Amino acid sequence: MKTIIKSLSILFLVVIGLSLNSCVKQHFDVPPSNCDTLDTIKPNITIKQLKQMLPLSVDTLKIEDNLVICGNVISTDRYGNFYKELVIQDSTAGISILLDQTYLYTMYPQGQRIVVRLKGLYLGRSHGVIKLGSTYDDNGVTRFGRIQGQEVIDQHIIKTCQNQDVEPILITMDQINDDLLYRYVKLNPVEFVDDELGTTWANPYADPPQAVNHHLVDTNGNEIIVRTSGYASFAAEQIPEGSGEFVGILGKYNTDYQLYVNTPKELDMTHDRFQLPLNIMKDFSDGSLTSGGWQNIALEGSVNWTYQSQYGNPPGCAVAKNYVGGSHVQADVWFISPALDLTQAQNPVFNFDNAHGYSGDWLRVYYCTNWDGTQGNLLSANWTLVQFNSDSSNTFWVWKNSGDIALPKEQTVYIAFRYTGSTTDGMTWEIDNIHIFDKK
Amino acid sequence: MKQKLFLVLGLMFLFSVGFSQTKIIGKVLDQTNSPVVGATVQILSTDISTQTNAQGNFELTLPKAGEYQLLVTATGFIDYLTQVKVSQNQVLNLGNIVMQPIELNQDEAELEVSQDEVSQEELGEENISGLLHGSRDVFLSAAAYNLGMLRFRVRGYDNMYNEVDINGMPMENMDNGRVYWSLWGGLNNVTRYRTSYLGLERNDLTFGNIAGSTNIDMFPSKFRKGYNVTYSLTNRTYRQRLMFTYSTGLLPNNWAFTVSASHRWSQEGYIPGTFYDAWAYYIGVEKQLKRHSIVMNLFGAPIRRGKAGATVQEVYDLVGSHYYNPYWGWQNGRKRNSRIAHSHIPVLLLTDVWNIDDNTKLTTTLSLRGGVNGATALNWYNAPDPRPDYYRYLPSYMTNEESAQIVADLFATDSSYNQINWSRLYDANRSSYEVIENANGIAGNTVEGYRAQYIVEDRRYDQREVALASILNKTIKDNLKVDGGFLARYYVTKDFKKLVDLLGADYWVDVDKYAERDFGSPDSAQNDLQIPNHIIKQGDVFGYKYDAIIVNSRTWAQALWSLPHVDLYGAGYLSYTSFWRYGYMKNGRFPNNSLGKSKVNNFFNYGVKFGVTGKITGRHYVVVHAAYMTEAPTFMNSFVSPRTRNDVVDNLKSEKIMSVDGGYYLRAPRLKFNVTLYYTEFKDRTKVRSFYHDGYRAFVNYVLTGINTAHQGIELAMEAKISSALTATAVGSFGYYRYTSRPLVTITVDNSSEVLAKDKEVYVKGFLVPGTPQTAASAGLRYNSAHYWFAGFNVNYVEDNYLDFNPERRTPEAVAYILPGTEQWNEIIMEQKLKGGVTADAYFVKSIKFRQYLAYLSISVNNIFNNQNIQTGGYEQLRFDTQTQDPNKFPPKYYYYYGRQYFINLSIRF
Repeated sequence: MKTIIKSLSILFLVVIGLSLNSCVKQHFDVPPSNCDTLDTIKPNITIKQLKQMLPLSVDTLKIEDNLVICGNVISTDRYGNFYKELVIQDSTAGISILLDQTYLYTMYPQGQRIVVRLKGLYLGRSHGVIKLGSTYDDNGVTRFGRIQGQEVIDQHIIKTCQNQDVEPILITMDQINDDLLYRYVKLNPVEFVDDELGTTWANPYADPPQAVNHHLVDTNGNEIIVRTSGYASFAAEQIPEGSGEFVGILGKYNTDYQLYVNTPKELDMTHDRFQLPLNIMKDFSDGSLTSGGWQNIALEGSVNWTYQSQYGNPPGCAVAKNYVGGSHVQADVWFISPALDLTQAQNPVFNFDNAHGYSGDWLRVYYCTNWDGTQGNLLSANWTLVQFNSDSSNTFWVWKNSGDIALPKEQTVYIAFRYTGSTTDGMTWEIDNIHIFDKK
Repeated sequence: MKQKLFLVLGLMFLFSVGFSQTKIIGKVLDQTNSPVVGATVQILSTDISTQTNAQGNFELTLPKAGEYQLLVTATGFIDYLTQVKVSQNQVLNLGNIVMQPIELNQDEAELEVSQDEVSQEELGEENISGLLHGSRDVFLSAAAYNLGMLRFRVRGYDNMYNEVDINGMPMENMDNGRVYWSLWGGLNNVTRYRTSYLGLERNDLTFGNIAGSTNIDMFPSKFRKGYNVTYSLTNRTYRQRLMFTYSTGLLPNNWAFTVSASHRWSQEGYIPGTFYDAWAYYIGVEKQLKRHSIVMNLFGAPIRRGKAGATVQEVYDLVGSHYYNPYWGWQNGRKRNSRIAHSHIPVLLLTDVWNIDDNTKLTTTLSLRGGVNGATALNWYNAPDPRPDYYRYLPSYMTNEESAQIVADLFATDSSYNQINWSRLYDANRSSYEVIENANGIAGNTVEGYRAQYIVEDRRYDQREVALASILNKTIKDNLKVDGGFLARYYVTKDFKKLVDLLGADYWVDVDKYAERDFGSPDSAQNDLQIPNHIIKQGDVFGYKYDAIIVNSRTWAQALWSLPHVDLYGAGYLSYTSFWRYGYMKNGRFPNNSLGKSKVNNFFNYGVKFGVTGKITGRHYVVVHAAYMTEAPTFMNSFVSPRTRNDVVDNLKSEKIMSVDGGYYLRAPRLKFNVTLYYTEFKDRTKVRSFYHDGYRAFVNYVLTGINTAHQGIELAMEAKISSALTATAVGSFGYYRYTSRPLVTITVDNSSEVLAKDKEVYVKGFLVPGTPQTAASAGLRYNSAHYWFAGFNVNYVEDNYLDFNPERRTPEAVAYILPGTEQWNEIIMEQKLKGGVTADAYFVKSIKFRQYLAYLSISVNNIFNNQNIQTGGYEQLRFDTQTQDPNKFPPKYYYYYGRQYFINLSIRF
């Protein structure tokens, strides 16, 4: 027993000895942030100045001078709508930097202030927009593209120790111009146009996933494209149905301005949809006579208003005539607008373009406030005949605008174009660009 | 030689006519009183010699009376020399000669050199063969000590075909059939007594397996009495080692106690960024009764170590080292490894040895084991791949020449690029503020904070096992011995992930990033629908959690019949295996197929083998073995994706194995020589893997069935005593291991179980089996000084090792539209041979006695000439770019053999 105790105590001592001299350190402190306090590097031009360096005549320019810009990151690729692209802005302008890296937000989160050493980078024009990037070899052809390699990126992009939330600037649609490109902007109030409601941001289940353009409209009826990538994590979600604040980054594709969202979480479009100003245009550009709720009623005869693709102002209009198969036929045909609610308009008016030929009854244009919409009650309703301008020369097919015709501010107003002809004669009338709007 | 042969024949003649009656007889035993078979017994200064038979008995007939020096030699034992005096016509019975195993003499020095288990693991193998250690056979010991480090595997067999038993209890992990020597790593003094059997050789204690079996005897009464303190210094996976053992020996009251403990450690091993911290403990108690010996062994080896990973040649070339390790990175000025393997599985073995009578022994062992196994790794969510050697980060990926040059220059020198950039991971985690709604599945529960983009997770595979083994050994007659046994095991692996480090973030959300991308329904991304949007903090279990449960019972029996000129044995076993999965999580992709118990898979298996040893004379033997057996598929290769669901491979089959070998053995006093031919067929093997498939743009499960291989070859071994002090050895193994079938592959999407390809042929028939040199040789010289030292050297050669190939590259789709025979076509489908080479090792061992202290000093140097170009292994990436069909887009990864290594060991006994 003694020996056992002795051995155990030796063992104990050996174990103590082992643990004293043979410690393998495996505890690690949290490292400090990697950032630059900007002691050694200072910006010396603005982003606006940088963008001005690229002449219109040049598509790609290598920056040879020791130029430095500074800006805050306004895009995030966390939700997949931006891909291998970092958008920054300073107080003068914004610019997109093309980087061949994914998940940039993990290194350059929104609000991060970064400094870009420009020497060696390229300014390039991509679909009409100036971007910052590099070049790459595409089977022997040098093209403007993304900056490759973290090693290279780190030489050009330096994270500062500043990170602050960037407030989007409030703009209106008519303010949009190239100076605002790649700025973080806010539009309020806006909503998505009616016929896009219920659709998703993009089409992620297509193979490959497809981007989708939606349209935002403001209270004046101005529109702008909102483009969303099919790879966005929210691509399968529906666009917001309400109105309110839209926040995004302004871009451009050739001549079309486009907005890109970082994430729908940045939007606040939960308010009731607003009433758009009265503005209905029937220009037959869709090739349809009846689209938009217009209808065609033939009270007498076999002819009718028809769509005519060959003529029009520009081609594509509604035509009525009674000369069929070499002779005139009896006709009384009505082309009638949908019911128009004009109660919100201050000064509702309409006008249209018209042209005519041959001889016979003149076109009659009416409005009515008490028709119930049925054919049987068409003639018993109270139709008010209105005057309109038309060509009075003897030349056929001269287009003329009707001039603005005032409408009553009633809840249900119909506009009708009535063509009549007899078995002995009949004119041919063409109408186009029927525009019903609030003249204010 | 002719003369000697004549003499032998003459002696045989004399013997056969019984002319002389002057004889010496005896029995050679080892420490455990088991017979030493095949020991050479010779009379010095004569040509008289013989070998012991299966019972250890020998008989020498002498021409005349006189004084003789009798030498008994057996591989693995200290030579036994004694003086005998024999009178005319006397039969001198020497009784039992107990051989002392070679410990710190030859064995120890070399054992220490080779017992660097982890080094092999680091070289690419998940574990190493247990078969070879401590073997007494010339071929096996050379294969282990000299070639083992070069990833040589005997006969090219997979390690799962080895069996290692402690006191008759098999020690492998039942879910993959492999033996992890790290279970008792560092306990060298108490695992020293072991016997290895190659291939189909008969083992008293088990039926064994195709590659062979090893018995470790763990009996405190047999451990050398006294203290043993060892200190080692090396430059391999660990730098230093301290071992302590104390054994009481068998006390007068018939108790015996042994304690042992060790620590092996290094802040950094041979490969940069690998640390090593391994402890071990052992307590053994034995009580001997009249007919029983009752033993309790308790041991465990807690280990934590940083792993090393293979990488592509481009990276090795850029950084200018074949020992580059992509797994680590600097953190606050210290090297942090992202892949930490750790394990601690205490084993309790209770053994009863019952000597029922002089000829009957029943050994029963109850084993309880259970503990922790795991390996950490980085995981990431919506963030760039943090691995520094990811293909998109390398110069070859760059299409801008200038950028490629900058990347190459900085990658070569700057460890913030060529290693893990931990501080960037922290930065990312500190810039990802997110709000999680309905957190933990509770409506209205909102959690906000920094959502982790990067974490360190611990992939655990803890295990529990209860097992009972009983072995009966009976000598029915002097020349008839039977053995048999019964084994029952209940084994559970608990597989799950645990978050170990949030790297500065506040939480992790348990969703699957791929599913989130691929599916519209938010449910499908959930890893556990029982707790949607599960917020995970450090220490929480997440991702997957299931048990693999395996129940097995086995009965075996064998008989050995010794005739004067032939020994015959036959053995067989019957086995029944059931296994199933039990899931604890309701996976969002597989809500009806992940939670709870899976279908139970049952397999009935059997095996038979037999062997014939023809004893032409006492010096010439011919041995033939043959076996046929079936083996149940392992759990790992049966479930398509056990982390997510219960699906099992269709038409799961048992593997069939047929093996024959035959050899000739020469056992002359000064020359031992043997040559063995073998042929083995493996049929209907199944293999399951998972990887990202570029063609399908999906993470897939890749199930190969009907894999057949054939292994044939020749083994040569020679040991020659040039003088009493100088011994030369040479071994060679020349194999031809190849695939003999076109396996069928079924590919399913991991996230949806959609079948993308069903039973598609993989054109690998005739491919050579990768993972081991098919040609290997070693030769050495050793000088034994009378002044208690010895020294020697070996030269080793390995060649014909092939790169583990990607089956997907050997399908018609991979080479579609490519002209056969063109360079690209060849590059895609041809197998790649790894670089072999020559290494040289040397060793020196000296013992010193000082009062009661006995000190052994051993110094060895491996790879003296610092050959750093031998590729010990590697694999083709399973990812293959189906668009460009360029196999170099995802090039192979390689492991290289360590350069010059030393091992200095000082051991003191008292």
